[in-house]
Amino acid sequence: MARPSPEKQLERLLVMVPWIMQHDGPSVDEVCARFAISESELASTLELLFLCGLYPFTPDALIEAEIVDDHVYIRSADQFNAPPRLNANEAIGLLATATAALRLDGNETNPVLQSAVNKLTSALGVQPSVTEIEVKPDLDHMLGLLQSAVSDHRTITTEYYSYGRNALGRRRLDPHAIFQADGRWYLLAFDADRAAFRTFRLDRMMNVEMTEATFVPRDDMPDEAAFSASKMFPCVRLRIALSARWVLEQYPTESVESSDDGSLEVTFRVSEPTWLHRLLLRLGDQATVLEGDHDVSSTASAILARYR
Amino acid sequence: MARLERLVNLISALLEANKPLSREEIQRRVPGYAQDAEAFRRAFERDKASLREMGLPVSTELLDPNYPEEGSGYLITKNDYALPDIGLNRDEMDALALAASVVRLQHADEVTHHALAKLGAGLRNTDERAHAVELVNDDRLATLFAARSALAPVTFCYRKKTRTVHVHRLSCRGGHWYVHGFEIGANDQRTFRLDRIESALTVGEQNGYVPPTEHDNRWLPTWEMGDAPAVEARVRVDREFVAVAQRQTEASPVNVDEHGNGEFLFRVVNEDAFGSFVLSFLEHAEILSPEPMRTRFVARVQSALEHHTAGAL
Repeated sequence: MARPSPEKQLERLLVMVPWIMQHDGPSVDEVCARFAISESELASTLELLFLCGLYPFTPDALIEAEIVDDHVYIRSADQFNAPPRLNANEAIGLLATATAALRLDGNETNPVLQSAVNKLTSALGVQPSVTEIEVKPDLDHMLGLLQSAVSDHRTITTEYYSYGRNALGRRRLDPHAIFQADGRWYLLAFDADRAAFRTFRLDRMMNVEMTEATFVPRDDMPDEAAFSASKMFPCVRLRIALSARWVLEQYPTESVESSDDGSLEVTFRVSEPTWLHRLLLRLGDQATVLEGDHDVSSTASAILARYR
Repeated sequence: MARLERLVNLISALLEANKPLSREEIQRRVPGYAQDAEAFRRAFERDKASLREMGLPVSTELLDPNYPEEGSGYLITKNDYALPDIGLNRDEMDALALAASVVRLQHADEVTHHALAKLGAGLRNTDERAHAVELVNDDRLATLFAARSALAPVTFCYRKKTRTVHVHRLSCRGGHWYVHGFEIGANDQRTFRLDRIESALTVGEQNGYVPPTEHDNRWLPTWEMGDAPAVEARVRVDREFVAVAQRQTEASPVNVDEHGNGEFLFRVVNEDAFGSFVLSFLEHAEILSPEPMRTRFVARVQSALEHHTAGAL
């Protein structure tokens, strides 16, 4: 295994030395377990420390580091009696994870974690809400519930707002993973009724309930990042103006080609015509259909009927 | 090993110094630097950069403020360096470690674990699949967070305009990171999506503004972002989609009729974005007022219908 860089070793050392000093003779096993290093790595770190110290490097100015009876002792290293402060990367990394975890508990509060976040932000000189993983209130609870379902392999039922069909339906699902893609939270679950994995947007799931049933996680889970509509559905090819590029970020495409004028030729698989009609009405003249069925008249008429 | 040794000795020297150390003193007091001036300069610059990159507060100060011509030296102030006692108890440390085992910020495993190690929290043994939730990451987060901590204004290009912002908060929603703050040029609160920032960030002097108060913690939907004056719009949503609308907007209907259909009030700055939102409900939502917005919406749908019907010919 490649040796970590001097900078990485230094970072580890700056945390390990104060910890060892504060714990006054911890065992070798404890140190190795806590800092995920081997005994030989620990030994060579201590050897190195033995050569370090302060000018003029007379015996009294050298760091003492040794292993006695399988316990580690470090002395005369007062300059390292505390670890460094959290740097910005570490601070935001920890705050983001802690804040997101607070959201996972949904309606229940997690006073211990909240207290930890408050102390941490106070020490960093910022307000507790400096970082917010903004999950909408219903999603908080749902994320927590789904997280449990994923961990415990519990089957769930949910109402799902199908964007394509503009309708709601109740489904029974085996949740396998939660992830983010295309700017949304998704659940990857096995739908036994359809005998296939499907991806669901969390913000379209409603009245999620855990059932008593458990399932055996399947090992044929598709790559989360590459969900795509079934190849059975027809294609529609559109020319999309530069101003409507966001469409690519939002929806999975079959193919994309750029034109000289900056417009894009995009091909979508369309499983539900309503989805396409909604997109076309929204884009107006920013999109032109080059190929494929796209009669928006009944969809548009239904909307316009409300305004008479 | 040699460089690691030199780095440890360099940090020791800088920490122990109670006044800035000149380069000559550093070369003399820290073993591992070459005698040759040029080689020393290169090595020292490299070491200094490494320490600063790690976040260590190596400060450059005048050797003697009364005699600026004497030049500058370097030191690390122990108070600035050392992690203060944050006062976390065992349960709180465990809670943070647990949080880090359940939520993963992409590409930040090592960094988060290192943060926990500094705080004295042990790591929980986790297997890969135990991370139930993954958050997207962004390279600029740390810089923006540091700017917020230091109350340093940040300048960047966004939608072709240069902006200087007092960072107040960072948020992650739907997989995108946003920075919220006060934009000086606009004299108003603004929200910026990090992946739409078009330039590198320039961070100004620290303590350039006062910390934000707990005022506007509200999430801004797309139709509330922009430069135009706000208009209040009233929308009716059919019963089956009221819950969906609530979910998407974090708003509750101001009234619900006997059939369960709901009426919502929205603050609209960007009418195009608002229209797109209403359109997403197709025939299950209707803009009730203001009348001009309702009329323009009808025209938009009409025009889109004509465009796409013409295209079919």
